[in-house]
Order: sequence, then C-alpha cells, then structure tokens
Amino acid sequence: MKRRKFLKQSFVAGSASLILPSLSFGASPKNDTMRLAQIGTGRMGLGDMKNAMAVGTKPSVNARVVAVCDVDSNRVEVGKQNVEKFYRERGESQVEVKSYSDYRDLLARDDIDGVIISTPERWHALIGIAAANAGKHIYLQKPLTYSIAEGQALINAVRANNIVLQTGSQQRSSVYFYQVCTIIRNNWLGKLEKIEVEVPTDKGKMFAEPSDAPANLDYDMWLGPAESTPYIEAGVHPDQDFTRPGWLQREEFCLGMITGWGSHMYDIAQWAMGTDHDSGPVEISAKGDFPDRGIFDVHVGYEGEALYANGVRMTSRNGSAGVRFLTENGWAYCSRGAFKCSDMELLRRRPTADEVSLYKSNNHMADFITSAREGSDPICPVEVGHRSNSICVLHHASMKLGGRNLKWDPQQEVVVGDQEATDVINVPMRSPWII
Amino acid sequence: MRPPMHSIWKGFAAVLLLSSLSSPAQQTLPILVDGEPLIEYQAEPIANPKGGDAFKGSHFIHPLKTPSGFVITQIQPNDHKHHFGLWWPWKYIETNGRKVLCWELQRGDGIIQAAESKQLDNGLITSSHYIDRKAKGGPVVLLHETTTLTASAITEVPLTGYNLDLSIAQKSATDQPITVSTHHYSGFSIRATADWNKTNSTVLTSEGKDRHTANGSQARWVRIEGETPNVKTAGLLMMSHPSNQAHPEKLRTWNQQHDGAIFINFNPVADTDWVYQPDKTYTRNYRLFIYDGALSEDNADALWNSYATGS
Repeated sequence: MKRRKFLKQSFVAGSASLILPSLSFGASPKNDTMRLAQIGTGRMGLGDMKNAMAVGTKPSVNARVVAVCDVDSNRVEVGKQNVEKFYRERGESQVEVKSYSDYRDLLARDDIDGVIISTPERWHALIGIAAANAGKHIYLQKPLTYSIAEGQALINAVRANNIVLQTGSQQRSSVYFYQVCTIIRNNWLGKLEKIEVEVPTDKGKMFAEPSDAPANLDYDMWLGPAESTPYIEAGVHPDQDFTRPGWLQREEFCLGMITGWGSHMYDIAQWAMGTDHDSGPVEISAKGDFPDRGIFDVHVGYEGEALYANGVRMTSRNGSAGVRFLTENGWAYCSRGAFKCSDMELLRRRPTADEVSLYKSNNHMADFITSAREGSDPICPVEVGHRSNSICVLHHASMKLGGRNLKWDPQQEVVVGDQEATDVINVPMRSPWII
Repeated sequence: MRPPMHSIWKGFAAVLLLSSLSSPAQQTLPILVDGEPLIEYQAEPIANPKGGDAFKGSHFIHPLKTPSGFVITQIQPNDHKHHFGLWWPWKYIETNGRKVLCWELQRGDGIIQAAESKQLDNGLITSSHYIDRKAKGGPVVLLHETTTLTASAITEVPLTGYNLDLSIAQKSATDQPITVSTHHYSGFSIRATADWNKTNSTVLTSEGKDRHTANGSQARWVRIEGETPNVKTAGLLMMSHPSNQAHPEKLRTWNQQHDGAIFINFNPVADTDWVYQPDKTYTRNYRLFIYDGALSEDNADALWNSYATGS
C-alpha cells in the first residue's frame, strides 16, 4: 500500500485515539474498503451517491456508502432507502447505513474514511473544512465554494490535514476534454490566441410568497451561512420531488450559471493553458442581464471577457455548453460527448515522452477513491477547483458592478485598486457559520 | 481523371503472389493472434458465392473468431446474400452527378474490390477500390481505401479476448470531390453468426439501448453477445473512436427481424452527407474486442475509454 499511508491519512487530525474497525480493512490494499458518507441527498447528491456505490463495487476501487446526511428528513430517508436497495439487490440481507441530519455528528464517526458533499454551495467550504479537520477525504461538488475567501480557507484545511479532495468537475474525466486540452497544451495547433466559452442560460420567473417551512426541513440549518430569509419552497428545493431546485436561481445561495456551468467550462480553459493550479486571468469584465424575475435574481444572459498575462483572451457568453480554442494554425472544440478540430488527425495523436501528458482519468468518482487510497492528488484537486471558481466569481463581481473591468492579481489573489469590487467578492457569512 | 483498369488487376496479381499466405480455397489472408488464425481477410473475390457471380465480394473479414474458436461472423445469409461478415462499404457515393450504389454489389452498380495487401507482424495493410461499374465509357475507380488491420495478443483482462483495430483511410481517386450520401445505413457493419437469435443473444449500447431501442440511437460502443453451441457465452464489443466523423455515430440495428439475427452498423452519414475533397485523406477508426465469456457494461465502458484515450 500505501495501506499504512491510507490509514494514516484517514485518521489524522486529533484522531490518534481511534481504533480501526476490524472489519473495515482486509489483508491487502484492494481489500481496504473505503467507507463513504453522502452529505446532501438531493438531486445531485443522490446521483453522486449512486455513482460512488456503483463504482465502489469494482474490486480495483472498493468502496461503499455507509451513511447519509441531509437537513431534510424526507430526503435523507430517500437517500438511506437508495443505499439499502442498492446493496440488497447485490445479495446483502443486512445493509449498514445510518442517517444524519447534522453533518457534524456524521464527521465525528471514526469509521468513515471519506465524504461526498453535494449540498448547495453556501455550505461547501464549511462542511469541507470540517471534513478535512476530521481527516475525511472529500469529493466536493462544484463550484468549489461560494466565495474566493472560502476557497482559500478550504485549500488550507485540505493541505493542513493531508487529505485528498476531488472537485466534482467531472468533465476532466472525459476523453473529449482531455484530448482537446492535450492538443492545446502541447501547441500542436500552434500558439493559443483566444478561447471562447459558452455556458447555458438560466430562465423563468418565480413570484411566490413565503410560507412556513415544512416540518421535515431544518430550514435554519439549510440556510447555514446565508442571511436569514423567509422560507419559500419555490426558492429552496421541492418538498415532494427532486426536480431542479429554486435556490439555483437565487443569489443568496449561488451566483447562477456563471458558477453552475462556468466552473466546468473555465476549468477546461484553464486546464488547456496550464494555469489551473496557481494562476488565472489578470483582467476580467462581464455584463449580465438581471431582469425582474420575482425571487429568481441570478443573471440570465451575460457576456464576459478575461485576459491572461500571456495575451490569451477568453470570451464567454450564454449558449451551448462548450469551449473553443483558437490558435495561430487552427482551432479545437470540446463539449460533453463530442470534440472537433481543424486538424482531425490531432484528435488521435498521443503525446510523445517529451511532450505534456495530462493526468488521465476515465471515471471521476473512481479517481477520487483510488487517489484517496493512494494518498495522492486526484485529477481535480482543491487548488484547481478553487482557481476555476475564482474566475466565475470575478465575472459575477464585474456583472454586479455594471461590467467594470477588474484587475486581478492571480498570485496574491486580490482585486487590484478596487475596494468596491473587493467588497463584492468578500461575502459575509452568518454567525456561527463562519470560516 | 480515370485510373486505368489494369492497375486494379495488377493489384490482384500482387495479392496472388502472396499465395503462401492465402488459404487456397478462400483466397483469404490470416491475421494471427497468439499464433492462431482467428481473423481471415478476404483478399480476393469469393469463390462460388451463393446467388452466383454477382455476389463475388471481397475486402471483408470472415471468419472472425473468439480465442476459443467460436465464429462471430457469417457471410451471405439467405436473407441478405450481400452481407459479408465484418465489412464496411458505403451505401452510396456520389461524384460528377452520378450516385453509385456500393452496398448491394449484386446490382452491378458499384463494388468495392480488394487490391494489394501487405503483411505486418500483427496484421495487414490492405488497399481496395470503389469502382463505378456503370460509368459512362466503362468502369472507373472513384475512391481509394487503405485499411490497416492490427490484432493484439490475447489478454485475460477483463476476460479472455483480443483487440482488432481497424483504421480505414479513404481518398478520392479522381480530381473531383466524393460525397458519401446520407442514408439510414452505411459503412462499418457486422452480420453476426447464424447461431444467435432473439432468444439467445443480446445487444447493448454505450447509452443503455438494447435490441429493441438501439436502432437510430447514437453510440460510442455496441456489445453483442450470445450463447455458443455448447451453451457458453461469447461476444464482440464494437468501439467507435471519438475522432470519427459524426461521433457518436448513429446506429442501424435490427430488432427481431429474421428471428433476431444481429446486424449492427455504425453510420456517420445517417443525418448528413460527408464530402471528401480531392487530395485529402479521410480516416475512421474502430476497435473490436472479441472475447469468450460475458462482458459487463462497466468493463465495456472501460475498454472504450482505454481505446479513446490511447491508454
């Protein structure tokens, strides 16, 4: 292994008195079943959890879900039933799965090695930091955090505790994005000149009045660090089903498609350029439309532009999700399930030994679990998730300031000479949910 | 510009010189897999075809065998005597205002003929031609094809099987563009063994479609699997490379016709024409994993990913 390293990393940070559960680990690394918990069992969480359970049955991955957590008791029950059904269908008569309403109780368990966090992003940093401090490996849905400061704090926690974090930017584990980024990174089409990013658009209106929160939802806990605001079902999540939640269109809880899909697409742009771990653009501007849509107040249409220090210009707007790279000799385009290139032969070319070979993953969840076991960074570690999210946040800040051009120092991670913009990106958190 | 016909027959002569590599009865060239001739390439028109000389096809693979020797392909089934195991003709190509039917060779219109072949350590490089036999003024070669066929050794992971890689490179034989015409079937195809029917075989695509739902859907891979006469299981995973035209290609598949006989076609021209400009080569790549046993969906997906990323 690695077994020793895995155990060490799984039980770090004040857990010295913990005793390994004798049934958790076998005689060889492949028998070291990684025990996972799902935090957030909503629309995305159930999908993430099913992915983890399915991929965990592979001997080379070997993981299982043993706990679920949500502030909505109905939803956590559905999560629990999903786990029980999954393992019963594989012949298990007694399925071990415990439900939690408070993630802190779950994190206090010493027999859980990793958590999958699929909550609204206002909670990402807080739960992520707590999980890191508890020595748990983390699969964290994108966007990594709500604010840039939260992302910085999360990086510190992950590295201080020596745990593995995989950002849920699963496009990196797709051959389409991998190959196009390989082409661009190696300059097979010549020098990169421009990047065109397109992300989907939010739409619709919602005029609804507050009501009492249902008994099954701990609404104050759901709000967490967000400012207290009256409960409106259409602006939280559906009480009776798992269709798209309204919080995705409210700025108190997220920044809209600029982060929802932008974090995917800017991530690919950064990967191709090699600016994904510790850099970013130096100028950002964006104009967004904020029409009156009732309680839905995130942007709809937008157009943005970011400039990198090397002269590459990245434009972005609403459209069909994908990234197009324009170079001195041609172009390459990638989206989910497809890629194209001005030189189709490059879609089959492999890097030679002296060229850049990007990290290769065929399954994002499996990559998380095996990386956690190995104690190595996965394909989209915390710094990468943070840098991709920062671009989204800066575009959003410019939108809120009417399209102002922001000067960004990617080394210091500060907006240069613009206190108003700095105030926009420094979002307050509601006590006691502060980092 | 019309290449002279004698160049084609010169090609056949070259193949005949490889007689030591050919089976005397079938004029096939074997591709050895761990020393066993599990793949046979038809390097000359077949002798004594069903239906008479109009069906003298060449440039296809049959038999294609699993490591245990089970034959996955069949040729000339009674329902479609122009089906030839694993083969990949375009249905129609067009140039200079003529639309040439190349799929049903018995119609006497277009035909794809094998020309030269060169043996590799692990396969073959073959050349072949699309010929318009009804062209005004006599037969004319419209399209050149170079097909590289390479086989891997037998692996035991994820189960006993081997890969056959095909790289199909085509180029206009004239100074005119060639249009590969839109049609609901065309190109890379297999007609599977007559041993398989609707009760003892399955079809599964990368998008979860089955025998009844796969037709017209897009897919990265298709798994066909069925019982062998001794009630074991064998199968074939057909993988389309993501760089192929119109990826993920649409499929033409059968559901229950002919008692559930399996016909699978990866078709890049299901929705739109594909135009070849003169002097430019257009390539498609496919991989087959031919195996004994039952291949899981997860393993099929992993094999495609491995193929797609070159890992």
